[in-house]
Amino acid sequence: MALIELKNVCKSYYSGSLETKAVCSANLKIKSGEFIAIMGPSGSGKSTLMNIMGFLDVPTRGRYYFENKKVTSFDEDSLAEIRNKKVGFVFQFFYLLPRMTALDNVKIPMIYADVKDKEQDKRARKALKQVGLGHRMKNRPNELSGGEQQRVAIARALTNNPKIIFADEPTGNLDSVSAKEIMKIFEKLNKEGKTIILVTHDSKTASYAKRKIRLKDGLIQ
Amino acid sequence: MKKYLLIIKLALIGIFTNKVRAFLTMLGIIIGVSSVIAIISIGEGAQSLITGSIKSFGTDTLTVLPGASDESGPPASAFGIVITTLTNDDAKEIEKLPHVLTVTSYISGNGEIVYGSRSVLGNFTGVTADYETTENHDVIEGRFFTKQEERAANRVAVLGSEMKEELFPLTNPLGQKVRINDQTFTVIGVLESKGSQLARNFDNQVIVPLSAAQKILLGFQHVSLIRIKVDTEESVEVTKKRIEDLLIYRHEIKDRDDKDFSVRAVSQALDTFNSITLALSFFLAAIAAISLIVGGIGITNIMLMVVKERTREIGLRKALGAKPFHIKNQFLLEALVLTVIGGILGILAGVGLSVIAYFVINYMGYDWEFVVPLYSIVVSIGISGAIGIIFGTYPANKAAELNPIVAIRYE
Ligand SMILES: Nc1ncnc2c1ncn2[C@@H]1O[C@H](COP(=O)(O)OP(=O)(O)OP(=O)(O)O)[C@@H](O)[C@H]1O
Ligand SMILES: [Mg+2]
Repeated sequence: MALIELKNVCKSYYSGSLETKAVCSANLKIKSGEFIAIMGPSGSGKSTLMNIMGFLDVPTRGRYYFENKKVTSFDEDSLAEIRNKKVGFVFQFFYLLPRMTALDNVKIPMIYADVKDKEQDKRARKALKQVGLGHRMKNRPNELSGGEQQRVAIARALTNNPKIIFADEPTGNLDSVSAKEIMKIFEKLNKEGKTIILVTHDSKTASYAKRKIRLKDGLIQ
Repeated sequence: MKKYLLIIKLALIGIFTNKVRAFLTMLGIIIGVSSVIAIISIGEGAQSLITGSIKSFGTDTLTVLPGASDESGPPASAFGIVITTLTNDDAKEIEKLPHVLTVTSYISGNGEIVYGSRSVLGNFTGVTADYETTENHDVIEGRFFTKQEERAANRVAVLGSEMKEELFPLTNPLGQKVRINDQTFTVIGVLESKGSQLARNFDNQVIVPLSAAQKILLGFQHVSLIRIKVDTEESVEVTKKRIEDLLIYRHEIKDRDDKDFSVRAVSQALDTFNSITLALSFFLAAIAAISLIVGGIGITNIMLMVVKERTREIGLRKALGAKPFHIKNQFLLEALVLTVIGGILGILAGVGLSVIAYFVINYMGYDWEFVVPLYSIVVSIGISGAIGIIFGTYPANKAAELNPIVAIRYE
């Protein structure tokens, strides 16, 4: 059974009468537990495809089934709920909230899942330890290195125990040592059963994945 | 609950990291709320002061003033017009009317009042012998002058309490001779202290017999005021009418509209003062309302800026599972924190204003009470909260409507 199934999915942007097809006729099946790298040159539609699969964006054409349910008919609140419970995001620029400690940043998804305070604390600490940051919980983002910030972001993606983790160029802003550490974490998470979908144009990063999807001009090759 | 505490904590951090901006944003609310507090405090203080002093003036009394005047407006004498048609003979006739208990005529002047080496520039008032009863004002030392002494224009004087302190700080004034505009009078009594009442203050006066004031000190026959005490408050209206009829007849006036006097009841003055304080309150309330609206617009403005600045945060929160109402509540709560803090600062400023008013008015010699009623504080907090919600809704909705992808990519 496929976890994700895309049928003829397209996403177009219009400026005036000019149509830009960011993603076109995408047909894709992803099973639970896969580790996938989406690759391709800049502007080829990698992020767009990932955002559609991550419920952040809606396709202009085609159908998207998640756990055999048709996502394209969901309303905004249901999409928020799926994002909250079923997926975790890791971004290139970390996107931590600067005024909060690492611990509080990790708790954000649990706030929206109505997790009890004690449980929030327990899970956030556990997730931070899992990514090797047990000693920096009370630090704010500007007191952490890039690699550490990205590890906080991964911990944040894990707290609601999602099925899939989406990572858009998670190593794009890191040096090779930190990048390697981050990829090791993803590898470990995949071994523990998480489905991982990674966007990258770096072949070294992509080598951690078990399957590669190549995009060019919005088309899956 | 805890998530709201976290949002409040973050809002507070935001406010404190941008103190000046936050303060400027709150200024409208602060001014508005402080005026609300000050209006209520000063309004209540003025109300009790005025009502109190008018009551002590006597609700069972009537006043006859020379010159026609609007029922509640200032008397003709206020414009410097001297009308000489009102006399003590009028007062004697008024005394014969039913319900009338006592009648007192007044005439005042000013000049130099001297005892030994001490001298004061002050007022003297000539009154008739029933003064004590009409005004509920008693002597505490010595005695008041009698009807015989008044009729005979005897050179006797009764001192107000302040005048006594000025002329006789250490010595016993009874039996001493004082000079009023170079005329010698013997002190026979000292009046109890009564404080200033409306425009009048008898404490800093020298009281002499009416006839003595007219003949010896001033050289004329008319009076400037007649005060009448009636038996009950209920007979005030009917007596007022009878006095008018009597004086119209005595002054040979053909048309009621050409009256050369006016008769006033204290209850009228009470109404006048009540309407004056009411008008003042409305004026201050209008200022408060305008500043609150301006303050509210400031809140909308700043919250729109905050939403713009934190577009990426909103996008991220949505990506992590925040529903539109979560985002809306967050920004509403932030606006609420801002306005309620503004409200609290406004309350402090308002209490400060009321304290200043208390000291200034007391310094001016009035017995002013300091009151900040609890309801004014509750109302102020309520108003600030309401402004936060009303003026925070639009920016909060804007935030809630943001598309997560667009927001997260926002530079
Ligand atoms: N909001 C938008 N409006 C118009 N065009 C857009 C918008 N977002 C993306 N595009 C266009 O869609 C195409 C695909 O963009 P996308 O961000 O998916 O590429 P990408 O493969 O992730 O590139 P990169 O490696 O640079 O991140 C690009 O041509 C881009 O200009
Ligand atoms: Mg991209």
